[in-house]
Amino acid sequence: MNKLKRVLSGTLALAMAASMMTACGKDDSSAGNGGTTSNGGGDASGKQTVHVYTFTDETQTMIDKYFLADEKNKEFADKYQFEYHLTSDANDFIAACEAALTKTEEAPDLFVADADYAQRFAENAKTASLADLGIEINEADYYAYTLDFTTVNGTRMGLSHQAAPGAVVYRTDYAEKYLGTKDPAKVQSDFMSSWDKFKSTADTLKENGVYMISGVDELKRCFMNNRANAWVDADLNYTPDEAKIKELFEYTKKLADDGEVHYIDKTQWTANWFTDMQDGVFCFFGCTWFLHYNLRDNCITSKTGDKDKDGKPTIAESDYKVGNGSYGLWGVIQGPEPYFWGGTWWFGSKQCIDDGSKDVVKAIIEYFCVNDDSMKAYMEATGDFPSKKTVASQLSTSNDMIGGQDHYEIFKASAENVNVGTCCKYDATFNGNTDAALASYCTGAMTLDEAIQSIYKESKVKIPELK
Amino acid sequence: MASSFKTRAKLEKNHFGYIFIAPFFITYFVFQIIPLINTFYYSLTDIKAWYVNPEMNYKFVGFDMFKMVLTEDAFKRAFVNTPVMWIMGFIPQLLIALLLASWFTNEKIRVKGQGFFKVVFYMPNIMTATTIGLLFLAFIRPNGFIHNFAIAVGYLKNPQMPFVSGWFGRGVVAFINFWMWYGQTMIVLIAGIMGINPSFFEAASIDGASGWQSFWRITLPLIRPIMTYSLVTSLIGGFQMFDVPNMMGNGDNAALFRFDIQTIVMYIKGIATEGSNSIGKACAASVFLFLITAVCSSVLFYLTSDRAEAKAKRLEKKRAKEAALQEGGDL
Amino acid sequence: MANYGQAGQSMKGGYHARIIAMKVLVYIVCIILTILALLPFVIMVFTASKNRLEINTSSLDWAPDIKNTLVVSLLPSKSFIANGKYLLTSPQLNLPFARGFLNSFIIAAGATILSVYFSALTAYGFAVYRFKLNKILYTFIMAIQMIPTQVTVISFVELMFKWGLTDSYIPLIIPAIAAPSTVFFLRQYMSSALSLEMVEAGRIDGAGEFGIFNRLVLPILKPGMATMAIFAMVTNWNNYLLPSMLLSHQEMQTVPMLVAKLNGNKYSTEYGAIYFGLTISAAPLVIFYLVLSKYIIAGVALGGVKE
Repeated sequence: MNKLKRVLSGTLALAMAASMMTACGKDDSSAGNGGTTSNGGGDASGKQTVHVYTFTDETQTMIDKYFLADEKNKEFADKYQFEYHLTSDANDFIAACEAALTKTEEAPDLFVADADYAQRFAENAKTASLADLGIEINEADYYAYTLDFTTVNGTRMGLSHQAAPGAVVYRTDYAEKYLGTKDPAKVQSDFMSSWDKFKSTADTLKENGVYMISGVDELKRCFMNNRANAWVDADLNYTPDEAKIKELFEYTKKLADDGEVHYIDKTQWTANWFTDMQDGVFCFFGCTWFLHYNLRDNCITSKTGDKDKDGKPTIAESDYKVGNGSYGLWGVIQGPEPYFWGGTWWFGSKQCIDDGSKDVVKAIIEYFCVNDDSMKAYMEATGDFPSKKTVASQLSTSNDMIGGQDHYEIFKASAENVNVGTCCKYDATFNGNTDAALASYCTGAMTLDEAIQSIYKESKVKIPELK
Repeated sequence: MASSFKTRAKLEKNHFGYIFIAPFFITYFVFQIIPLINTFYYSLTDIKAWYVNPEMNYKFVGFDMFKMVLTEDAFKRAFVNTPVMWIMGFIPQLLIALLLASWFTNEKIRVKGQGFFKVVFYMPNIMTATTIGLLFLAFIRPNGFIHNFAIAVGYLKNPQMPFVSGWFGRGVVAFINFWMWYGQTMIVLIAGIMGINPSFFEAASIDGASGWQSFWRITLPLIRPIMTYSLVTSLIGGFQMFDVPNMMGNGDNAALFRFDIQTIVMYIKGIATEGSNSIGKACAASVFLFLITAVCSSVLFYLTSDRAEAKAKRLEKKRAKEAALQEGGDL
Repeated sequence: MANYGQAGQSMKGGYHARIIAMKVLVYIVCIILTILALLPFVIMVFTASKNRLEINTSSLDWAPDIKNTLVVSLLPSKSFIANGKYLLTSPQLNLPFARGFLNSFIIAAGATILSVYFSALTAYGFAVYRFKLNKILYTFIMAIQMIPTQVTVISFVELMFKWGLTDSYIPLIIPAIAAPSTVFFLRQYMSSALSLEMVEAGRIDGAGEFGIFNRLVLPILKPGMATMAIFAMVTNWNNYLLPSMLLSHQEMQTVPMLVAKLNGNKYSTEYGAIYFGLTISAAPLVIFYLVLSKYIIAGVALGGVKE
């Protein structure tokens, strides 16, 4: 017994020590660009720290790998160091960022928001407007919705670098086999152009053992983006577009009941969703960044890259090839209805004006959201889709993951049709409750009326002022 | 003479008692009583969280928040789920703990490897509850270990369907609570049993009592105070249940039975940290939590402790007398 | 003894059989519970040693074959270190675990030391001195055990903001001085472990009151305090709600908060790395526990020590 204990604790202690050492090594290497100094303070190298609050690791990649790596921004790289505060969970991030905004130490200079709470951040008293930051834009150049999301009483508060028009990404091999064609134009017009066609396509595929979609939360944006009005009006009166909600719920439930949904559950961002990208599911309601951020790494099955220390292969550039998993077996079409999926809005805080880091905050926002050349370069490098029409019109590509199609063509058309002015401060709460209600309805845990009422009831719990 | 000296010394030193207990009471006042008073105070206002309202402006709204809380389904749900899940976990927890404690202290069975079993049974308790919640969530998701098992044995007919039954969800939470805590309860009970004067058992065995008889007649009554202690601390912990159900039924991982595992503290935290961050309403709900815990533990304490203790004392006296007689006889 | 005689002898045979049957039952139950207690740990550690593909493949095998599911879930693989590296270095899971361990340790150790020492002090005050308010104040402590700390958590956080103590460890450590249930436990423990004669003897030797407590009483209370230390350490290490509401700076966050983020991290699918995170989050407490477990095994608790 004692021996066992000694062995156990010894092993664990070793494992701990090892992990500590790995981690400490990492700390040392990052100490150069991320001390724990307060705002405006500098470290030994004399650089000023810029605090960036974000919900996605993409922000750090964009600043470090693109903005700072650009020769033109050398002056900023010499003058500033960046400290990233990453919180992934939406509610936790809102709380952490708002809490930090009330302070002066380690307060955000630059922060980003998802569509669910862009409006909320725009209304924050500590958010600087574009005018405060000295950023001038030509509004006509932008897709309107990317501006609407951060507009408070006519003042533009933040900018998005991307527009995220949605599309339907489907499997060309299944289409060829079971629908008789893999041509995107034909699949769109004959099988996907309306919700009725979508359903009969689902029926056909079901007979052949292929699920139409992965989970019940796949279609929500398509319906909900096309609501007539926002969840609440200016006085917090509850104004849901019940007809649209009903449409979404009933349609999704029909698919689920007929066994055409792989999991009668929310699957987005879960392991099941990513696994479905390899096999067994016909289409995903993906948007611009879905292609390079989610699908690209998850559709391949065999990795032949350099072996890591344990002999496990990593993904090599050459693994992104047709025939590896479902790579190359995808097509992109507009689908039944236009929609968008999120976006990443950038904000400067009043803090950055006070502590003198306004110039770099302004430069970063302009680099990714205003300047045509640098935006174009970033979009071409990543395959992302810009918030500016003037940049989008210059983009074209041939993407072998989607069979050589030019996904920009589809997204450009889609983006023109997206028409949403339906956001409110509490979208995170309403949308979360809608997701839960939808899942509950599809599994039969709630009736349609209960589910729809539960959106109001559950939201009212967290927003007592709601009328 | 000696005794009068002693009394005087005691009298002189007794004021030290206040010094010894002062840090406790000062700390308790500052960090618990003031917030407690504030909780009651804020519950009558519409105050918002400090990070959306750094100036801390608020106005009085009377009992509006209480009324709102009382009419909400979410509130009723939370106040049913929490005690239900606690009871579902606590009953097996106490029974198994009692069984193991009686076995491990039984001289006749002499369980070998006791030390190992005790260490292992207590082990789940030291794991971070968030870790355990996340682990079990991964097990019960479609394609998770338990989900696959349920399909394999035919409990789930449709592999596309996740677990939806509210009772299943509550069962998982209750099981985790049981799994995390029976070892701890067992340790406490063993300590209690070992604290019983062995002469009682000797006397009983000489009187020809069987193992069961001495367990029912001696062990159980004498460890009743400790069982009360376990019961009341577990009840209080039960009402504060948060980490595990929160990991399993919140946010992006909203399992489908999430309404059925929502607890009081989850409800309170949701109000305070999401939506419009209404601290006033969260405090009104906290006042209800305070009331229900106070009532429940007082009742439990009264039912189990006072009367039982008196009974146990009588029994102990009786046994002690018998034991003394026995020892006297031996001498 | 002589009374047992012949009848006693023959009864003993059946009695032995009963004992053996009982023993078999006991061991079966214990082994089942052992498996139950360890299985999640085992699955966790093994999954931590797999890469994404292996995890996905095993989960695809939901075919009605229990053995297969079990075997695939339980087979260890070699990616443990790779997953660890990924967890600790990947910008995608940018979580400062090493820092988190240090933070959790500072909070848990600080709170444990304060709570055990001051609870012993308070309990001693009640046990040894006959002052006027003794009974009333002790009843008060018994009563406040029943107030869940979560009742005040919301206004506690507001208050800490008012005092400028958010993003500070003070509200997580100092309040541990007032731990009613630890006081209650140690008070009970003292009633059997501590003899007033010894205190008297100390006084006669001319020791001061605090000297007696620190030098004579504390060593005697060690087993009881160790038990409480384990409980306090575990509780404070695992505390999630309060730190998650008080600490917003990533560098200050504790292990449970980082674990919760493993879950919230929707931009990563490296489940092996997530399980690795879970594994190392549990490791320090397991070590601490195994070191102090002799007190648990000894069953030292209420009245466990005899004269």
